[in-house]
Amino acid sequence: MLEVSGITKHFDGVHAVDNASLKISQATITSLIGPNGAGKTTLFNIICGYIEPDKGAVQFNGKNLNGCAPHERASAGIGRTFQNMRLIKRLSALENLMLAFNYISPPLTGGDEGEGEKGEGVSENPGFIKTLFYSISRTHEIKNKEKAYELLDFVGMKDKVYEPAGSLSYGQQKLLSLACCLALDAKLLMLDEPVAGVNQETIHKILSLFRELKKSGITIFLIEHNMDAVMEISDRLIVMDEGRIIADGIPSEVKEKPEVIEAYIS
Amino acid sequence: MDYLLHILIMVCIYSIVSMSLNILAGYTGLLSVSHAAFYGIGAYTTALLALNAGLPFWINIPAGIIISGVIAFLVAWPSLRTYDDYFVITTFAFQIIVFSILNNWVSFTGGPLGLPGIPQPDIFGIKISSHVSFLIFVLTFAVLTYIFLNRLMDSPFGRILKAIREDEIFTTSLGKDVMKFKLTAFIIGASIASISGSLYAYYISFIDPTSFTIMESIFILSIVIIGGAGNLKGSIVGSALLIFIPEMLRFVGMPNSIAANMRQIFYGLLLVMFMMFRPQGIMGKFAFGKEGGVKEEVKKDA
Amino acid sequence: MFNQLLINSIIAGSTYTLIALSFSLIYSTTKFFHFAHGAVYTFCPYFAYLFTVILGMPLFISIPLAIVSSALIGILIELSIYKPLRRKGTTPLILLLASLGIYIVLQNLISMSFGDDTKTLRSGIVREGLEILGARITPIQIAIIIVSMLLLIVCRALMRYTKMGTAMRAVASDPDLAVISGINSDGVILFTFALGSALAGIAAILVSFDIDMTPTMGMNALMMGVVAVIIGGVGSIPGAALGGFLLAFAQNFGVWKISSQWQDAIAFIILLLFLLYRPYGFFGKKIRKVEV
Repeated sequence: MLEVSGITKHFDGVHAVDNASLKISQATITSLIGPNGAGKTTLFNIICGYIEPDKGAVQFNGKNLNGCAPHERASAGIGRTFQNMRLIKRLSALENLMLAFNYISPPLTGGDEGEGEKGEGVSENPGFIKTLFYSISRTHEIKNKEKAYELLDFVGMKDKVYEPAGSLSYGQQKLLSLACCLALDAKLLMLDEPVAGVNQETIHKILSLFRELKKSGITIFLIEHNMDAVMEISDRLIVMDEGRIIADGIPSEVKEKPEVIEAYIS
Repeated sequence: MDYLLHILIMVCIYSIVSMSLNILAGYTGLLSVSHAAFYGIGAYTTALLALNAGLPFWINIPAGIIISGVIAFLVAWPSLRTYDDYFVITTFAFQIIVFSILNNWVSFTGGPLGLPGIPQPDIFGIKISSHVSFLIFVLTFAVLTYIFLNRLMDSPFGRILKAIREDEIFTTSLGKDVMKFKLTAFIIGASIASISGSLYAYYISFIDPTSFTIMESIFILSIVIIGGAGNLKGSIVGSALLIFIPEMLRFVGMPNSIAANMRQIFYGLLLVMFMMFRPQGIMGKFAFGKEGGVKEEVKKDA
Repeated sequence: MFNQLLINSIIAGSTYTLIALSFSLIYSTTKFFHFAHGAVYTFCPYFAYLFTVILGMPLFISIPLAIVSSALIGILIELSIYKPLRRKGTTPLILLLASLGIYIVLQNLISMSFGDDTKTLRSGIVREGLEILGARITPIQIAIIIVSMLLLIVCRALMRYTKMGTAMRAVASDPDLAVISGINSDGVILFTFALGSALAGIAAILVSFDIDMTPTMGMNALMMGVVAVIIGGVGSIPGAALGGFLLAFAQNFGVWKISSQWQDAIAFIILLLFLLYRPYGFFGKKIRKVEV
């Protein structure tokens, strides 16, 4: 699903990422770990298009993403959460989700899009005025709202629909960020420290959500420092240190590798 | 009485131009000091068409909107590559350049001498000449502008603009082409500003470049900020405040020679006071990054 | 003709350099556009006018006094407005807007107090000026060049060889680190305002002797300074000179071919080109970083 080959990036002469290559298969959960400053977030930023690499290529679903802007990659199905929580704090949880929707909402199960209401159908050609003013017809807004309620329910925040995102607890904000990726209809979720800074209960909730998402075919690629969570949830483990990928494989094996242990100690 | 009507007409005209700037500055967070340029382009387009081609207002005003829109695109396209305070400086530069053109291209714009004798607008042959009829004329535009912009800001489009203002990167991560939205907001703002310019040209019947300087841009921005960034009603309140009060000073016997200075000191002081104690203005929703005391630090390459 | 343009460029370049220097010092330590600097600039010759013409003091007293008064105004603005804002947490944008407000208030105070007409500090007749290589240059214009270059050298030395200079550079490059290292950053900023304002005042007085003064002279001077700083690179003293002279040459030789009324437009087109394509100028460092 995601193929990264030979990504290299310098900043002021330092290799932030050094010839990184990896492959992520669909419907798997992969964790990217490594000591601070290893280049994990930088790699994420490059994959999502926020930073341009000096060398290397990123392929998503067979399509080369080089030159694609971050918003295009997001529309193509790559969802992202950030280390510093990013949400629109003054908008309600519902409205944050509504932001993610395109002209029409993603299909509820995978079948019923494009009913051709007045020729609108799938969002390919929404018309000049619509594009100019990004307007969505009433019916679609309602559909989107329904979908938004569903997603909030899915992450267990049905009662917080109208709360300003800024007044939610940290854990709830994390859930909301996850919901936003789903609203985007992302098939690959790239999550930067999804369980950092939340209590055990929330961690369990999030991890079980991950399992459910994996069952419905969604791919998860995450950065984490919480080793327990990582070991519990990951199908695969990739380790980075000083910009390089030093290990890539099954968690139980990778954990034992001497270079991995050394990277963390030094 | 005529004097009061005059003030109300000016409040309407400034409401329109400040609401239009609010879309940019208040809702999208793009603080532009080039708005007087578009205000001026509207005025000059209308004036030139009315004087030279005798065209009626329902052609002149849309013409102004279109020309403003095109020039706005040319200004916005490069400007939006800069951020925050550098964006302000970029729009500052464009404002000066447009002003230079209006002031120096004498053969086209009449240069510093301006364009006198702009005919009054007429509806089906009836000239709008009295203060009362002009007030109704201007008020109609103001109300329509308010309704249009209000609906626009309540729509998904407006939602995205507000999101861009708060967190551009998050908005990008949701698949939205932030640049395209900013451009659209800029063009809409500039186009509507030109409406006020057209109305101004018709009202005063004489325009010259000194009404469209950088100081005028700063004045309009001050209305938006003091009234409240991100709230259309705030722009109306701000316009009323910044036009009424200085006029009242004239009533209390302030000599004419320093009235203009006092007016500027008035809003200059208000600007400083609000920035220090209440950046969101009287009734605004945007505090330039200082919401709830939390500094949003998203720095970008200039 | 060419020689006259050359001389004019050098004179203008010197002026711009001094203004750019004064602005650059303040910007690099405080990281926002101190628009009110334009008003501080304007205040100095008007103070001198007050002392000389109205209060009858001799020039050799009123000029230094005016320069000190300018420095005091700069300090006053910093202490009463910028510092409290920084204390409670603020953004460069808010500071810029506040600064705009301050400029408006101060400029209008000058207008109200002295009138909008052009004033002069010169007494007596205007002297013809010397002829050098077929171009005319007046004594005051020579003074502009010499004083600017001298001050440039002095400032460079200050930044490199004194404790305060090092502290200023530290605050400019990494304010948080500077504080941790024990530098009193508020004190450094205060000094910078005093110095920057004084330099601006000197520039303004020189200009006033050359081409007289109006209350709005500051806005234009400031913008030329900003353009020069952006061309040369923020935080670089040689950059201020490079920017100042490049701008002056572009303007003077530019209007040779087109009318002089486009001078401002030329300056701002150059500004735009640099902002868009070389925002860190020739010698400056990248001012902003992407934070994703």
